[in-house]
Amino acid sequence: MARRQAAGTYRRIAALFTSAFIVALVVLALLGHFGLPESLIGAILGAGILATVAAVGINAGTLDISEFYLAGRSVSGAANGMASAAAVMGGGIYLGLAGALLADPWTGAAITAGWSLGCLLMAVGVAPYFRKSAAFGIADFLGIRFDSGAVRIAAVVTTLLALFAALAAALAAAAFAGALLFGIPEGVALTIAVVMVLATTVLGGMRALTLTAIVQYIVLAIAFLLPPAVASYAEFSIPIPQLTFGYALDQAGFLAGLRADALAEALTGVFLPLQAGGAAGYLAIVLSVAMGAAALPHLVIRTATVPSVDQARRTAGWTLFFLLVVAMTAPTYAAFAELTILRDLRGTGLEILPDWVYRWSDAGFLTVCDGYVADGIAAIEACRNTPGFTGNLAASELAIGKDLLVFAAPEIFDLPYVGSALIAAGALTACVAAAGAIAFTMASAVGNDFYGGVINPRASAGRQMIVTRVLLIVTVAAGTAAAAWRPDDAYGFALAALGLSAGGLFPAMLIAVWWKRANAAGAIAAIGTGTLVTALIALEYRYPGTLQLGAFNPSPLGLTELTAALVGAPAGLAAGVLASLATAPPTADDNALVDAIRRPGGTPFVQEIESR
Amino acid sequence: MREGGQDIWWRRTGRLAALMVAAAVALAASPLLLPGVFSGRSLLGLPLGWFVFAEALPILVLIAIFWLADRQGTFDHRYDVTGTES
Repeated sequence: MARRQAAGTYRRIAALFTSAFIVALVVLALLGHFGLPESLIGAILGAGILATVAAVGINAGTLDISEFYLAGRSVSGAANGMASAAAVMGGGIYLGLAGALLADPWTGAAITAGWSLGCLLMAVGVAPYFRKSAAFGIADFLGIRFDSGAVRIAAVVTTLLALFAALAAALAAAAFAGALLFGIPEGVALTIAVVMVLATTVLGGMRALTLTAIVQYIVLAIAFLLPPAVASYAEFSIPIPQLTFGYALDQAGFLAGLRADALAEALTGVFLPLQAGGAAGYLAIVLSVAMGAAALPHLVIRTATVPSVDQARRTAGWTLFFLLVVAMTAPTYAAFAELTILRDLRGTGLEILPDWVYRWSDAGFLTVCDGYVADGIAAIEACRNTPGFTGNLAASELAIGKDLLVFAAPEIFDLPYVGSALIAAGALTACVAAAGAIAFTMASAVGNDFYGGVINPRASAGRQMIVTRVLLIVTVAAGTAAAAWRPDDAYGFALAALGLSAGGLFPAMLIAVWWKRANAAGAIAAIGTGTLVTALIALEYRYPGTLQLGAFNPSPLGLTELTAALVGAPAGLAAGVLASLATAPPTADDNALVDAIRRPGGTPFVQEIESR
Repeated sequence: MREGGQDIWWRRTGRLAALMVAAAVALAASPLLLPGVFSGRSLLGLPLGWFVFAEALPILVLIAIFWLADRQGTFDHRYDVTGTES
């Protein structure tokens, strides 16, 4: 009964907010048409969304440990899927995917394919067993499975390593989006983002995160779908850009003089290095993203909030569905932007380009003739020495930064200002949702999995929640300090989180469920080896030459911080298998525990804190 | 629920999981490793190989996950591994 009531709550909030949001957008658009200043439109939209999210988050405050860590295990698969999609979207997918597709259609597609495979891996290999255990996190699950504090510690360390950079990047991206939306300095916007993250996590934990993530998903989805839908309707009278962007690409290709099958050119012949754009490189991305998604801590943790093992399988499907709403819209941005730029800007005088070109170029996100130009005169000066200079823009002379495409799209598509404000609001909520999920997962890993599982297993429920809440504040503070240093590659750090999850956690999760012979020594070897190898390769990619690896230098392979998992995960798996075989086999009780994890029915065997 | 029953159930579960993952990986790899099969054809204005990789694969995997949940539920009931959760 309580679960049905909870499911009804999520549906009511989603329906109410969607209706109110659409009405508010229409009203703001009309007010903008009748002269309301742009700054006020952005402020009203942003403040309204943030106030709603904060109110929902604060109202969801709880003292119940099951509600705080697991949202009462009452979230339906669909609601959980929506919240999970919001949690993982962040800057990487929401902002970065469209730009990645503009730069290289196959790389962007490989990321989408990887997420699809990752959700499948989660549905068949991780989610049902994690849910059955009712563990509070990956480290908790592995600690229970292997009955080992050392395994918990290893998993907690890897979780923190994988997620910290992603937290900083999400906060930095939220600050950028907030600064755009409100027209305020990024430092002030960062403060607002931090307040929002705390409001959605500290009091209500997973319950608040779930409710606010549903609201945030609605905002980001409507924001992301609207601009290309309008562009598609303007071009083809069909407001479904996912069906029409191919034809937009066709027209763009025709205008640019490209062959119709230019998208297939990348696949011929190249296998190494993996970054060179060959088939092996794209497959490497698919497999790395898949393994990372299946073991991503702030995604896996959400599968424990559903009422049953069956819902846990389905929640992976719902997560993929809500991710695809955005991921399959991302290519439409690239397609319609290409078409608009080639058709409407190519051949335009450099001194009379649209304002958005000069503004974004002056801000450092777009180049004209490889230079940043603040006005027409600067544009002419930048292009004067290019071959064939005519005083007009050639399409190849305009380069849009990959994180900018989504922000600039409403202006490229000539939408009213409310479209630009909406995109910035969507980006802000996506990044705040991701930051909240990541921060909660990190704090929960230390507060529950480490403190409650190793340091003080007899801690009361109240004490554990207090520790986790304090750790949430500390985690967010640390992430804020790193974000203020301004990591300017949110996309890269999101990929690094996936890479470390794939290399460091996926092998251990695999052997925990699927191999009874695995023991604690094997799990520690798997986590340690996978994490170390993946981290070293990622470090060498980011800062070449730092590690002086000599003959072991992975650079010739072309591995990145993401595809480092292709070496890390097998290394971790091999270490896990060898260490397990070289040490004492599991006992009959251990095998019975594995059978209990695998069985969907029966009592979840997590040791409830109240009974300790 | 008999122990032997769980063994059979687990083998079928593992087989289903392995089959689904292998099929998905094969579908993802086919446009990449066999570009010649897809070249020269297009769908909705998109080259067929890219369409299969970027559009068809995610949708098919999405359908497969829900189909798999149903199928697995059938296994669970057939081998009586569900029981009552408290």
